[in-house]
Amino acid sequence: MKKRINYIMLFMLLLAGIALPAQIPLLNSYAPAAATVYLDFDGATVEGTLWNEKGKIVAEPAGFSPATITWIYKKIAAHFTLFNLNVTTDPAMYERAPLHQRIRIIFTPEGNWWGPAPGVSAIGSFVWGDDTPAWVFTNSLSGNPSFIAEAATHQIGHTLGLQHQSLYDSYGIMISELSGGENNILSNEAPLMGIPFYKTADWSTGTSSAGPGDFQDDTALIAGAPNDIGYRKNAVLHSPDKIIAAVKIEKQQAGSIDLSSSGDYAYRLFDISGRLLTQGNLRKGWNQIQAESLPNTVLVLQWYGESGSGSQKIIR
Amino acid sequence: MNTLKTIFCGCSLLISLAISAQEKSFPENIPQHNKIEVSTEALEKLFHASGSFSIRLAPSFTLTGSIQNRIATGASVVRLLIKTENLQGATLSLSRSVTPDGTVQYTGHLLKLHDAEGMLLTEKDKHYYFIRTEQRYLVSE
Repeated sequence: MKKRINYIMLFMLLLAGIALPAQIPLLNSYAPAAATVYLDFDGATVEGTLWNEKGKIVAEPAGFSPATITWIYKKIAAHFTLFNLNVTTDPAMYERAPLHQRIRIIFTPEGNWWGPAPGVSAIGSFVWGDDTPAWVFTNSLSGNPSFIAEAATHQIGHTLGLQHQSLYDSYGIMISELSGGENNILSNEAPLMGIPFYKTADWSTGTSSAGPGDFQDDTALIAGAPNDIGYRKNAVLHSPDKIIAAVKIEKQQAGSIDLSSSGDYAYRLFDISGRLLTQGNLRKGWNQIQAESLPNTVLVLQWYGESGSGSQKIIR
Repeated sequence: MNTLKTIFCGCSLLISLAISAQEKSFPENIPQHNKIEVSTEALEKLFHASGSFSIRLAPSFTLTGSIQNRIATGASVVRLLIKTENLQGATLSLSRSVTPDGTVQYTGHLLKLHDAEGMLLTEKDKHYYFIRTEQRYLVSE
């Protein structure tokens, strides 16, 4: 009898596995940051935005495995390690982010409502505050994860106010709106805001599509106004002259931070999937931080403040 | 003399072609002004409109259309989508949001996707303007 029940339960679990969509891994590149880019892989219905000229858009899920999503996320996040910005796959983090410092990138196979393109976005929409999303059409990129990651970064760049990096001849006539990088066999670099697919792509400084006299410094524009993202402070666990903070792990506690600075500090505690468990402010001295979690799970404690930030994995 | 006539005719033809090409790049019925000031009161009228309506946003700018969609996200954001009837069927997407310091902020775009130009609602010194803008500065692939 017990064996039969076990079989039934196993069968029901299998059914649930088939019925449920693939689990989206919840990832955060820099959770302390307020500015947030949300990578949305599980489909969306979009209404009331400038994209809805022909009505409601029902975007199908990208249909990627968790491993592929993680790979794409990592490649995109790597382009933003300089900035005080969180790249996330967690919709809750997007909801918590300030309205005027967030953008959602929808990954979906088709963009027939727009036309043949790898993606489309509204320039500067990161600060609009009305949740106008940007798009990546994965079938146009042959489902290639590397192309998809670079195309997504390109669209994020547009939402942060960037134009294309373009090439002009010596008379100021545009040769190509999308720069593929130096036309040099020795160069293996291309601008992310040009054609980022076939070379190592990065943010760059160069002539933009606005004209031959318009030099666009991608990183300065991303960090500066109106985005007001800024650059990420170096993670400082131990500064040369004093300990900013130290983590002590005890059996019944998630962790505690010994803060030697009297500055303005805060903390957040996540489980390994990126789910925020608790957050708060720190004061000078020992700060005990507790959260309910299962035994033997991995927690990530992050703290940040005036003089720097740090993180610590905690295995319970 | 004949050569002069030919050159003159050729130049006239080139100039007329250039002028007509320029004219074609502007949507006919989108207001032909680079910058139109609109008051926040006028913008608010749009948020209170329903069904089909005709609202004068500025002395030279009347918008006739119908509300296609109105969405409120939380307490602080309202998005409006308006299909215009007198502006070549362009769509006005307009949103009103409240910044963390309590300031009410409007964003808006009047455009037809894939057209050469559109209008961008911008704020300067607490005044709002619709500014005619090349669409490549508004939307990009």
